[in-house]
Amino acid sequence: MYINPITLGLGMSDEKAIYWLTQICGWFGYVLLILFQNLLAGQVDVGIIKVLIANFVLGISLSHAMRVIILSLGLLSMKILKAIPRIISLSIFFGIVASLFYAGISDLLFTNVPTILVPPFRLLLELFFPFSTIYLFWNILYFAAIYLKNYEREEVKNLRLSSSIHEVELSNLRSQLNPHFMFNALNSIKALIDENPVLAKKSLTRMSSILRNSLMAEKRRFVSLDEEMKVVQDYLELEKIRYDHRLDFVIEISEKVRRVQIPPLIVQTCVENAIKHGISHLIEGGLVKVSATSLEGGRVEIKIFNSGAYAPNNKESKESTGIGLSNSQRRLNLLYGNRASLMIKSEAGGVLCTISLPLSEITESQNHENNHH
Amino acid sequence: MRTIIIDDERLARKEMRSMLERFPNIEIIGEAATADEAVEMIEREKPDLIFLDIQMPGKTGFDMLEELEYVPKVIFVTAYDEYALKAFEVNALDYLLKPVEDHRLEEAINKVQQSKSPNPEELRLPVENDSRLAPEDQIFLKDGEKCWFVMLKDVRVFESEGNYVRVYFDNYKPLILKSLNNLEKRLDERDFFRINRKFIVNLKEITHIEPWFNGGMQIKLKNGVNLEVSRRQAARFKDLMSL
Repeated sequence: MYINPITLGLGMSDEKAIYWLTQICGWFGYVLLILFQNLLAGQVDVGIIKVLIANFVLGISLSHAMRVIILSLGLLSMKILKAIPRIISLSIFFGIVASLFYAGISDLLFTNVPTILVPPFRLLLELFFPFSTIYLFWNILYFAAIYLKNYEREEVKNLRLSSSIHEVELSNLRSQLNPHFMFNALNSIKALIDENPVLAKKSLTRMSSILRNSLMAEKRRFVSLDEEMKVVQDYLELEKIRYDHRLDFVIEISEKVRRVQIPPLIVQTCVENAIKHGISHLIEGGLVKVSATSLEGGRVEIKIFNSGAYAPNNKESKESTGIGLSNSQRRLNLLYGNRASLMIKSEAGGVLCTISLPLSEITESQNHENNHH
Repeated sequence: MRTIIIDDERLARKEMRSMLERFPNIEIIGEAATADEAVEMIEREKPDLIFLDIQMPGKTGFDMLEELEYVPKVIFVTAYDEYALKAFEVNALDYLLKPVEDHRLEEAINKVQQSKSPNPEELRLPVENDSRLAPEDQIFLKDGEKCWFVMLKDVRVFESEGNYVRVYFDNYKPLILKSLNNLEKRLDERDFFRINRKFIVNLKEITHIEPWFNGGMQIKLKNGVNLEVSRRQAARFKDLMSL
């Protein structure tokens, strides 16, 4: 997950302040409770102040120590069922520690004579149970707060993701279901009806499949590479009708990566750019080559090559590639953090767009997504 | 009307051809797949009308028009490009959207025919004899991303600005990449007169003529602008204006 270092910094100090404020208020409330209990029982003397202060200091320092242990054990990121027994044991352990300490100091406090550091067994037993309960309670509050915060963060992340998907959908209407492509294709099909009715029928079916797919794309976070390549194939077949001998294309997908999950239309956007900014400017036409292979370290690499010229500062490309590409890059960033990339560079005899995705992460996120539904 | 279809897509040209079959007065004399092919064909054939796709490889339809010495009537055909159509400040002619609807095509053709002068032979003659433009001829102007079709007679003044010429008409003054000298050769001096090194003026715009220092003259245009006629051109101007 990618977190902006600046916001992280701010968040840290904010969180620290909230943590300490809660600690102080919480334990202050706790000693107030003790005070009231004693008031009700009518056992108030000056010594109670010492008891209260002792409880307060002990509570804060021990619970803080407990938090240090929680963090170092990584309990926060554990699955909740795994974390619960650990939290309980931790609470019991700190209950004992607190009892020992308390019994130790209560001798100091009440007798003013530090006779023994090992308190009577009975006192320990009496103290241990309530103290463990208190630390368990503390843990429940602490974990609840952390989970709530994580939930909120997740929500924000999901919101940002869905809004970006929405934007992609919008820009799809401009680039994907780029109306220019759609109407040109319809016009070609119209001419084909007389010339080659069989091809005309095929093309209409392809057109509907592309339409259907791009309508569905907004609802899904992932599709298999195989599904995506079907859209790409349909799209290229249709463009081939229009560009005639000016367009050649090759699709090479290694068997291993066919079922890999990828964000929908991410390859398609690049292929469209290849046509729009590459092939369409070439009078003699050119080649589009799409290939996908698995890399070492559980990654998949998708390459889209076109034999056009690389012109990143082109007036036209500023207008549309800008949206398509930066949108794809943002989607990848939100889904994978910095573990995915999309790059465009000029290559010998053309332009190469490379998408690189982590393989394992994909399935994890996919499961995550499924759990949510 | 002698017509050329310009589109980079074979099927689109075919479709346009088949749609034009039911218009007996449209005679298709050629097809072009690229801007360069089209420029060559238009200069050679001097068609009355072209159907022009805006998006073509290499050059757009607008770039192509800019290169033309002779600009026929144009009906633009495009799949969808708000951006391209917005380029037109003065939409003198029509455009069609692909796939083209029959009744829209009919409307566009009617519009073009109405815009033609009643006697087409007379109008074409001067164009064929020399390459000079008649006042009724339309010119295509492109300045950056904006385009205009203008009747020559609507232009008030051409002003030289280095390698460019600024064309004044209506409320616009686009800068085009042409030299004033070349432009002068294409204009009939009975319509447009070169008054000095910097200006060519539409004679119909002149309201007053006064003698000026050094044997020069000063002219006043309809919009109130005063311009000076150089001494050298003043004599020629007098010759031209007197009977």
